[in-house]
Amino acid sequence: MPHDDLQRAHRLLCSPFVEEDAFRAAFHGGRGDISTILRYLRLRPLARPSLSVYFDREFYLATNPHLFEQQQDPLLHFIETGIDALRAPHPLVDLRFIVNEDPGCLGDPPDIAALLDLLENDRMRPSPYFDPAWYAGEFGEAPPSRGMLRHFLTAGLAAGRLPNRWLDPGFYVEAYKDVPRDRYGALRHFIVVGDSEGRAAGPYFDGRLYRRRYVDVADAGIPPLWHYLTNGRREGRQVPAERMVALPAAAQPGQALPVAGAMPVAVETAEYDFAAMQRLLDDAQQARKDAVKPRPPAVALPADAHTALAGIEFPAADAPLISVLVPAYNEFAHTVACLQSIAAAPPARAFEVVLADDASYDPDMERFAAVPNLRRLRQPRNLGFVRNCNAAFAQCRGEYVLLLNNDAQVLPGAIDRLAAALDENADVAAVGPKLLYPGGRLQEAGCYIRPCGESTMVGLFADPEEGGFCRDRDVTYCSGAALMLRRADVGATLFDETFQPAYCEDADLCLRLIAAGRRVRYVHASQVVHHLSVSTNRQSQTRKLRSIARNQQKLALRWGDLLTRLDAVRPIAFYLPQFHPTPENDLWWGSGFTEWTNVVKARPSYIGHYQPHLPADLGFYDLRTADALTRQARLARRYGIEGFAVYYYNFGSRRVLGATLDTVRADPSIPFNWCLCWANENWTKNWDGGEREVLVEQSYDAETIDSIIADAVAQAADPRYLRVGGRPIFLVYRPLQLPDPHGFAAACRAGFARAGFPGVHLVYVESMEAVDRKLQPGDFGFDACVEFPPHGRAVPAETPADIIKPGWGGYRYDYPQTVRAFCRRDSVPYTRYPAVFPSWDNTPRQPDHGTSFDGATPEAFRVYVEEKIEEVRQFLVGDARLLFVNAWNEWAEGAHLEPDTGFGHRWLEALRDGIEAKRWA
Amino acid sequence: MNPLDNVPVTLIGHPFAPIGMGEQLRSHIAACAAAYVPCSVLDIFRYAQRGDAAHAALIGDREIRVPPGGIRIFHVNGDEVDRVREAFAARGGDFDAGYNIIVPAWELPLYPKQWAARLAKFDEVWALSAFLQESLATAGVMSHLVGQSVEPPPGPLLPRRYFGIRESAFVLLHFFDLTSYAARKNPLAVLDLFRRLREAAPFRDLHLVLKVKDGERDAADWAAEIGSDPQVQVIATPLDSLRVRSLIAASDCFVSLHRAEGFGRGLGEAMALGRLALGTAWSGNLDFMTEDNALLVRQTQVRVPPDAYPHWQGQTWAEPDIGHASALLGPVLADPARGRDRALRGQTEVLRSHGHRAVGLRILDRLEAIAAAGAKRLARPAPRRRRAPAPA
Repeated sequence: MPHDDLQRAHRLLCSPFVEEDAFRAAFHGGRGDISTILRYLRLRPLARPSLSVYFDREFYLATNPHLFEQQQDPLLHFIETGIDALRAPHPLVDLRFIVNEDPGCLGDPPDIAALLDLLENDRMRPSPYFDPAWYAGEFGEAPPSRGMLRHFLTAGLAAGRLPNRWLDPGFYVEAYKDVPRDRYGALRHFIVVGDSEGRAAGPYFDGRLYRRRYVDVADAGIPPLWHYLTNGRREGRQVPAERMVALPAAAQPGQALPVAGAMPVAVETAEYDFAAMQRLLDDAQQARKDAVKPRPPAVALPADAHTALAGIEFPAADAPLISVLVPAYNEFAHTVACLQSIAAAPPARAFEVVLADDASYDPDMERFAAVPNLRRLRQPRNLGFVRNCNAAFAQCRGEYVLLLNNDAQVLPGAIDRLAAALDENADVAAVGPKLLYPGGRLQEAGCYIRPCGESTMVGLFADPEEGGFCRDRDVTYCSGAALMLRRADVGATLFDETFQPAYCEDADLCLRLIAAGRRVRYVHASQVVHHLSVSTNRQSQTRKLRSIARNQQKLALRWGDLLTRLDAVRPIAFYLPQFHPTPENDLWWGSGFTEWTNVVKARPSYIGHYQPHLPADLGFYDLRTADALTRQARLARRYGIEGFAVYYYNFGSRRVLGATLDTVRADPSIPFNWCLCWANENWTKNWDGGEREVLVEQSYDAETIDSIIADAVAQAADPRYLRVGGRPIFLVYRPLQLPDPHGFAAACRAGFARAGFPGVHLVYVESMEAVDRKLQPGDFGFDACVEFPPHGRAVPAETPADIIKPGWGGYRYDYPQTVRAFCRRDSVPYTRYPAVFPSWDNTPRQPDHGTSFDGATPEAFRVYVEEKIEEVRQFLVGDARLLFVNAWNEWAEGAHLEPDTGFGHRWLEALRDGIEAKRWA
Repeated sequence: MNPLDNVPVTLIGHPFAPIGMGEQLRSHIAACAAAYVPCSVLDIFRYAQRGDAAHAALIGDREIRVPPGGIRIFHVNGDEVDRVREAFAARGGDFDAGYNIIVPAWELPLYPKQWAARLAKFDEVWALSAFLQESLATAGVMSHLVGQSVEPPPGPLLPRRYFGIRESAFVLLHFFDLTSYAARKNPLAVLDLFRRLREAAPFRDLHLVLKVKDGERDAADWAAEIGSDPQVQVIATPLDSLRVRSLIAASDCFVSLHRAEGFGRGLGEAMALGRLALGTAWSGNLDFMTEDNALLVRQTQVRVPPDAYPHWQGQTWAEPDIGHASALLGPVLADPARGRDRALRGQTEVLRSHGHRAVGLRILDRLEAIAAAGAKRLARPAPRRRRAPAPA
């Protein structure tokens, strides 16, 4: 035997891919012993053992036939070159799939150790056909600790366990006579041959049916289960089991279905749906918190406070511009750390540090007398936090005063950045930094106050680097732990002594400033670590909670009306005017066509599928009539909706579907508030805004753009037109379709300015392509964007459907899980208006390929609304506290608040109840 | 240390009863929790059915069987004092070994003298409203004004469809009283009001819902009779607290043309849910209803007719002006948005004055004062505390 061959075999067999135990069992000796390597090589290459649970020689040979001809050793080939070429070592270890899912996960070039780590620790699916998470879940309480694939191959498969929910080797053996009779052989057969042939993988997945249902999959020649497991599932496609359900005679195809009556209302289901949705969202919140990997900020408490104290020195300042007011009551070490953090990175402008010692009993606190240029004020007796601060504030000389708790430490630049924020905004009276926990989690990015007086720290325990916390914004207040004030705005007295000894005095101060027309602002680039000491003594904890409750009550009594005003939310619903005939639609779809034409034809596709949605209170209205518009507007107002975002269509300077707003504008008595949403997309036969079967193309020539802007400007002059900060709101549905978004934005702004408006509030819709593109409104010259659920975050329904519509091949999604996904989103460093959707189902437009959301209930919707109101509270202020609803009347998309026969007013009631539940707490 | 720290506080009465006395006790449990006052609950007679899940959830493990020492807050009426004291002793309680507070209900301006004598057995009396405080004072009983909470618990509400109420309609809701002393609640005035509103606009989408207690005098017959009117709906099935709350939320305006109310809890709950309240401008409901946050109906004082109410002698009550009630509703029916603004103001105002925390802090103030005064009976070794403080 050539020496080179032996060396090569030895080297390759020593790879971690070869399992020592398997090797020893086969050759009665370890890989270190050259004689065992010889014994291995003496076997015919194709007769050698596999030596790894993740390697299947026959499979490898079958998928790499040239090895057979060359009589090469498949195992050695895989280790030496196969892995680099991403050859699959095993039917359930698909390297191309792995790399496609996560390009970097195997390293470059692909590395055996990384592959083994991935497999042994279940880092991802090793193949579409093996789902480690599902496999582990099937064990219930006591799954194998790790290595699901290994467990499956060595024990699970023989014991009848499945590699994924749909593929059942036992079923496969029974169903097909030409298949190997053992489970593993059958499994491999399915993966190599059966799936491509469209065979049934198990009782709940029949590839033939899947292909029949989804013709695009059949046309592309993709193995059906492979397609479902890689893409189809994500797309909400349906698992095609043969589960056509016999219908009662009246419901047979071609016959009239009885119209669905009212959906039943049961107390138990209402309570369950509400609680289940709440649990899902709570879990989502918890998961978000758990996912944070905090990095501790670069400050620490000094190891030895006394030594540290000796090094602290402040510059002399005769006319300080900034006073840093540090109230202290004992806590020597913290106080040293606080002063040290200021001295270590002193602000650029003249400053003084005022240490207000509230008659500490710790003798060490006397040592601060030795700190050069520290102004130390010592109260003759303990005054409590509020009075101590007030006494010291009167002594401060700086134009700006930074209140800084003695258990806080400023990070470099923090003080300067706060001062700069006050410099830049003359009407801002107070600014607060990003407060961090010593462990690195966010403590506070500003606060909001509920009308009941309770406050919430925005971003508590979150990742301080998350987008929404990395942006300056106006807030209701910032904690007095670190709060820089413009002294002239505060006046002579800092805190109201009603709030002594402490709690809520800072909120009261900020509200006093806001009531006087000033602003309070969070400054994200300024960072302060706050130790936030927590009392562990139960009785003192109770005392503290009672003090807080008393002061919250005072806050509510004093500022309640202001708090309610600051907390108001403005619900706006997307509105479709396509409920009157137009010449265009008459031509394309037949005379008299409106949305209703499709709506009434819809039929259920599966058991439990709610269709058709038929209008109740407002009937089959015609949106050219003032009466219909008035009734819509009154109904919306009754449930607290402020107005509508009305779709606007303009093709080549020609408005389409404009009659609705013509009627509104002609009659000022219709209480219809609106803003425009330019639906800039092609009209197609498929209703998908795409490029195929285009009926009319969206044009972007200068003349069209000018006519659009002129229309918007003209409409915005109506007092009923919706505004933010005095600027009319104008939405664009598909911003990425604009050939020149910046040019469009600039032209828009110029048009509104020419007409005498203070500007325009340009918002784009996060529809289709705009979701998850990491785009910011500023990138296009826009001011904000708005969520457009369910687009972009839909979660497929996992439960099989009992299909009743012959030939149906649609898409089903799970409403509660989709809501959860929308509520789990990270916040963003720009204005993104949250939105909610009650339900969604476009079966009227796509009878055989409709997309529907199961599990949508008014109770779940209400929880969703409340959660999104919390998001509004955290990130939006003033009259920009918009909450959008998709939609008011998208009947052909099953997204409508308007009453139908099935749910009546329940969606509206849920929206109102959600808003009203938030009017206090 | 706070002198209150080791003093047990117990609420005693009918915590599971679906009646006013039960409501006021339960509202004090939630109020105590909001003020971080740990309290136990004692069901003194144990006769009430325990079918309401919300009651069970609220009371939870606060319930105790043996009366403890410390501060005892009795939510019982003047006429049941003797029976309550007997039951208390029968349970092994030592009435004198603690500080006893009574929170009685009463609806007329003069508190009955014979009951006042029974209240004297207590160390202290709490009033649920200023009206009640004045009434007690007429009998020589001094009391502290504590009030009761009307704050609803969080959670789902049932839609109009659950009750079969017309969704499109403007709905007036009235809790119709069929008891022998119904004159105080003045239910017929509501029917009169509704008749007037209908006459003014016969085809207006207006709906009247009357909740009557099942099993009360002739309720079924009466419901059947009035139920033939398509615009009037009678709900005679028993409703638990979730359903009652949902029913209030399902209405647009809660109506009470009472002649006298000790507190007027229904009106308060409606306001707390953001619903418009229309009520007689007299008695207990004036603690939270104002011209700006509700619709207050003018009234004149008249003598209480003989036997129209217990202890009627020498008493007066209100005769609400139904024409005025109708006039108040006119603009609201024409533009419900006006009513909604008023109702939303009412919601926040009533929660500020009669939310859990507001009432809880008034309770806490009293308890701390009692503990600070160091009543001797409180110094006795207290039984082991049963509950940790309520969570933050």
